[in-house]
Amino acid sequence: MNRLEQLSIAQLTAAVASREIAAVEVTGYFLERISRFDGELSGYVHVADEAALAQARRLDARLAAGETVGPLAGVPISVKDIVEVAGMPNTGASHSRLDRRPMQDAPVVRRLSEAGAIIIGKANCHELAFGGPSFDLPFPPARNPWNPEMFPGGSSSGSGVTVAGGLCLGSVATDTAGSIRLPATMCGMVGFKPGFDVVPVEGIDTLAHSMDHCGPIAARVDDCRRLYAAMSACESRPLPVGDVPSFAGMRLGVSPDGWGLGASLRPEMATAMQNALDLFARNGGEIVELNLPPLETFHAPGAVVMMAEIAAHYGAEVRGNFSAFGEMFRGRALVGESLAAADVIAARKLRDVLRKKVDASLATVDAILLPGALAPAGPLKTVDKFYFLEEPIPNILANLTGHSALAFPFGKARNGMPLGLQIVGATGNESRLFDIAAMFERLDGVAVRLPPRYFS
Amino acid sequence: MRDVTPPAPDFREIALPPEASAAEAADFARGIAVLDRLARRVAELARTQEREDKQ
Repeated sequence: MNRLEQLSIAQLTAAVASREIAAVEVTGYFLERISRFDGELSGYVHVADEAALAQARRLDARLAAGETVGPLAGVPISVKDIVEVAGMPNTGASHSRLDRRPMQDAPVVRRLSEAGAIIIGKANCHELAFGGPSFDLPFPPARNPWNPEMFPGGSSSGSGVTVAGGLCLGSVATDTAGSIRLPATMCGMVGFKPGFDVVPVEGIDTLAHSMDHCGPIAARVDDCRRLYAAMSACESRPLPVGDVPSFAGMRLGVSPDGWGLGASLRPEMATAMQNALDLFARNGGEIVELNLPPLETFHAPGAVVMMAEIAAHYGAEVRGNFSAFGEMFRGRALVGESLAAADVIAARKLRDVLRKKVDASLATVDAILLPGALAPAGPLKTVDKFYFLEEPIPNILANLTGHSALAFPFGKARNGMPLGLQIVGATGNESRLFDIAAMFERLDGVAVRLPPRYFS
Repeated sequence: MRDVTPPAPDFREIALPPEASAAEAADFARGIAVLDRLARRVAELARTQEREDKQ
């Protein structure tokens, strides 16, 4: 068995569980790929060679003894470097936390390990999930496997990059205003932000505590679904698909005025949105125009709540130890100190109103379609410190309202970078989001799904 | 859903510590201006919502 990075999680786990290949061989294979490619990608800040091999050996021993193993048997995964893994560094890509080495796993990591996944290392990220891409951190920024000069998204940059580079089959990421979905979109991967409290966030650095979520990034919709099932301890069964894939019976909600984005939504992204709607309607789906406010109505209170919470959480520490943090992080973390309490209270009230409006819309459709980002990935070196405040970023809607959201690749930009969309759904109806995205994956006709340098 | 947003400190002039460069301080001032614009938009949306609630 060769080219393991090209296998789906279902294929790999079947091979490991049937002992066609040993988990230790799988782990060794991916460790070899990491040593070959990660120098140019900087996807990992720590590679757990010995610990990963030991975990794989234990799994092989259990299989040899005839024990039943979990549904992720032998799957190599990376874990964002703000999530605790026992015995591994947990630096948050910050000079302020270089010595941190937790003694126990975060609950989400424990769930994955119990399902048989192999924790192969800690994934690079923006400083404490907020400051980046930066060149003044302990590690260089992660590079996009489609083009190393381009932004791979963030803050879970290494999570997107390690999966898109074929350096693991899935990653544990976090999302406060899009940090799972943006790297998924920029790297052409699938990322899922569950609803509030569905995947435990204990053992993970807090950023903005009412908006923080944890979820998976993977290369395929089914891979992402399987990781999410283990992380949430929820069963998520794929919809049975007949010989002719179809959206029949599915209802997709759209904003009649393009979320009021106008020229903020770059033409290639707008075209991808329209192509997705055409594909959906052509294959039996029903498109429903929703009465939802423009995206900026979500963005303004979302940004105010988030920035206030971050300043409240990190402000004193950053002021007391200023030079231990990168310039991007400290500027972003402190700017929320300027907010008045009345603004935050008003934003919280709007949050309740907007949540109810989205709930009402989701009572009439299976999912709501949004762009994965306003634009395709641009150059890594030109990302602005406050870009996420300057324009109404699509991802923040689901963090503000607490709904689940699934980002998936759809189309390519002229510069060869992936484009992506996201669908937002009701909590408890996650399975429907995966079903819809899986159908797009089957029907969109994209020939090259994975970065050729790492998968050809 | 957790609803534990803490009230932010009352508005005051804030600045970076002295070790920040002039360029960093200028960028910070830009960030405050952008966030202030969003906060004013929140206030406007809240007033509109209040009017709608009364109708």
